Amino acid sequence: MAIYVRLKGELPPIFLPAGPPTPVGEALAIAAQMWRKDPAKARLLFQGRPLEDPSKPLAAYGVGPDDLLELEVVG
Amino acid sequence: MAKKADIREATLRQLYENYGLTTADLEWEPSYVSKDEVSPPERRTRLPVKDWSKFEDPFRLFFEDYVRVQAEKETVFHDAIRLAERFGEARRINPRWIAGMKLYYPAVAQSEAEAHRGHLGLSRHSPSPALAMASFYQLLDELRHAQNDVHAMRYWVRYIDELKNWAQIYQNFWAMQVFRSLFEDMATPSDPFELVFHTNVALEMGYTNLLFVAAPTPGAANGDRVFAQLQMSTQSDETRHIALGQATLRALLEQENREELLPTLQYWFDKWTWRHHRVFGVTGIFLDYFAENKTMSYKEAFRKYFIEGYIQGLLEDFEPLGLKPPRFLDDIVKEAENYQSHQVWKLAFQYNYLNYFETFPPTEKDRAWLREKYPNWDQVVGWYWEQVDQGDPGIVQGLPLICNLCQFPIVYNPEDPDRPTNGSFRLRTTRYNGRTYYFCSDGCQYIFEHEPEKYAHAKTLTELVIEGKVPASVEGLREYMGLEPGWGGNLFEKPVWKEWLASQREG
Amino acid sequence: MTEVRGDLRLELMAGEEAEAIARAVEALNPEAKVEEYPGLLIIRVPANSRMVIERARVEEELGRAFNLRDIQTMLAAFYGYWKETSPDRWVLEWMEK
Repeated sequence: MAIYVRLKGELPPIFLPAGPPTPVGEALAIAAQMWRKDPAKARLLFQGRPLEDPSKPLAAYGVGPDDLLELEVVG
Repeated sequence: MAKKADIREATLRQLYENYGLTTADLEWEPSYVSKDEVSPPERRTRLPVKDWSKFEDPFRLFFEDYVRVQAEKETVFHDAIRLAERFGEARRINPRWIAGMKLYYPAVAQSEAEAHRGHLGLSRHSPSPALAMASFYQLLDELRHAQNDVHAMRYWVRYIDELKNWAQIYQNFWAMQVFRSLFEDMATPSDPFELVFHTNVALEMGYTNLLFVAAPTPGAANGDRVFAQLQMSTQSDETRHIALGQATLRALLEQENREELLPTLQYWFDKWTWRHHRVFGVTGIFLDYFAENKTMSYKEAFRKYFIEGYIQGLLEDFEPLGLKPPRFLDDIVKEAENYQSHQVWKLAFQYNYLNYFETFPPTEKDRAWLREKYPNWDQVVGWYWEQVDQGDPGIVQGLPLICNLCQFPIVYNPEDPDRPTNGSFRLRTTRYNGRTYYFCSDGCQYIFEHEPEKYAHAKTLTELVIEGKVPASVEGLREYMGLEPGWGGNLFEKPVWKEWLASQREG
Repeated sequence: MTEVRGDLRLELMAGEEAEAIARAVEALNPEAKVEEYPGLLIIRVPANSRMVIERARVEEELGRAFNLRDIQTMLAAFYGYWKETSPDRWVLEWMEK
């Protein structure tokens, strides 16, 4: 049971040490750090939808314990 | 003298005509123990084969000949190593090639040992005496190969450090799990004929010409004649194994009741063609990347040896008998001809801080050759190396998602062969007994869903780290895998490469 | 898939025996082609033909006795099926239809 995140345009997907209860902001910070991106200039997506509210848990966007997220650089 | 030779020739001729005298005719029905005690049912084939007399070894080898021929091969190989040692050949081999050999030897040595194990079982329990005999020679061959691979590592350890921990590396190194998964799957076949399919047919007919004939040519071109001789010596035995595979396939497909056998044979053909493509496609990095002096591309070798030499011939002969092309052949071709070697090389570089062998960015000269051999190279992977050129270290810090079947980090994408990394990507998952399994491809997912009980218990290296069974830090992971400080990394940043360049300028 | 059946092919580790075998094959099959690569000698005959290696001819080319079994010490690859591997003759051909 693990959430993985893929940098947009890159493979392999990487294990994200977070779960459905993790707030989006925290998950974004962890993911951004893995690829040394500025979290202020990045965002997470799930099934193409951006996870916009950093205080909401991943679960609020329907992210389950085995799902794949995407990290996109926007800035 | 002449007369003795004539008598000997006449005797051999007679025995050749009457090979059964030394095989089938030496069989007997046990009377003091039951047949099941001699050969337990779980070790016998489940295939409803009716006519065992159809199994014949094309080479009809006698032990005396076997020993003589093999002794000659041993002499040639050991002479080659002795000569190389005497004249210090290892010091004049391109370090790029040596880096590749560090990866190659532990994997191949163990593969031969597992093949030996497999044929121990087949030779012992084969219902066909001719098959048992040929399998017996094969198990001796595989042992010879394993021992010679280890002997070559012993030769190398005088010049480089990394192979001294080869056994631990084979057990625990992240990329070796790909080979372990394959070979352990092979050593535990569901049926003795599955063994013949995955070793003699799918591997030896399908891939060993690529592995042991094509791959050694860049070895020789980069100064490593020991490797070239070792692999050609190995391959000369493979020709007998291939003949056994061909003969077995014919004997099975020429059975009167072949319709009963076909579903099982087709599944084995589909499964093993896929599994071998996934693993032996790694050979591509030796032809396309490690070698500075290149001979042919993986795409060319794949087309020549796999498609033309193997698949086309096999299908022409066996499609009329009911065998269909391997289920995932289109994906195999797309991967091999577009991106397999490039994705594997990129992955190895991305994790170069966790390697024991070196990798490096392709030079301008390499890239010119790659663009010529793979016209879509820039689109597939060239963009990544440009980023590395511009100062991006190119490494990944984090645990990759690993396919639960083949144990490869997921970097494949036959749906988008021109842009495997940055094109469309579909994650494949299966739920089984409350656990989610991930796959790199339709092929791996298909196999898992067919035999989940065989594969469900294993955990990928990433899963083991997540569970805390394997250390999560870089130092802890390196130690776990048997790596010492200084091993791995980018070859072009290491003193050994600078020394090599200097020696080339002087020379 | 459409296939053009490839040539019958023998790939031998280069050396004087390999050359003698190549010449022996050529003597019996005018359509035979021989190619040299580093360390390898490749002998081809057309797919619908057959490759025959006769011991007597090899010995003539080599100038000494030769056991056909010793081909196994130098055989790197083959494409075809072994129809015969007797002490006097080895024959490689594709399957009869």
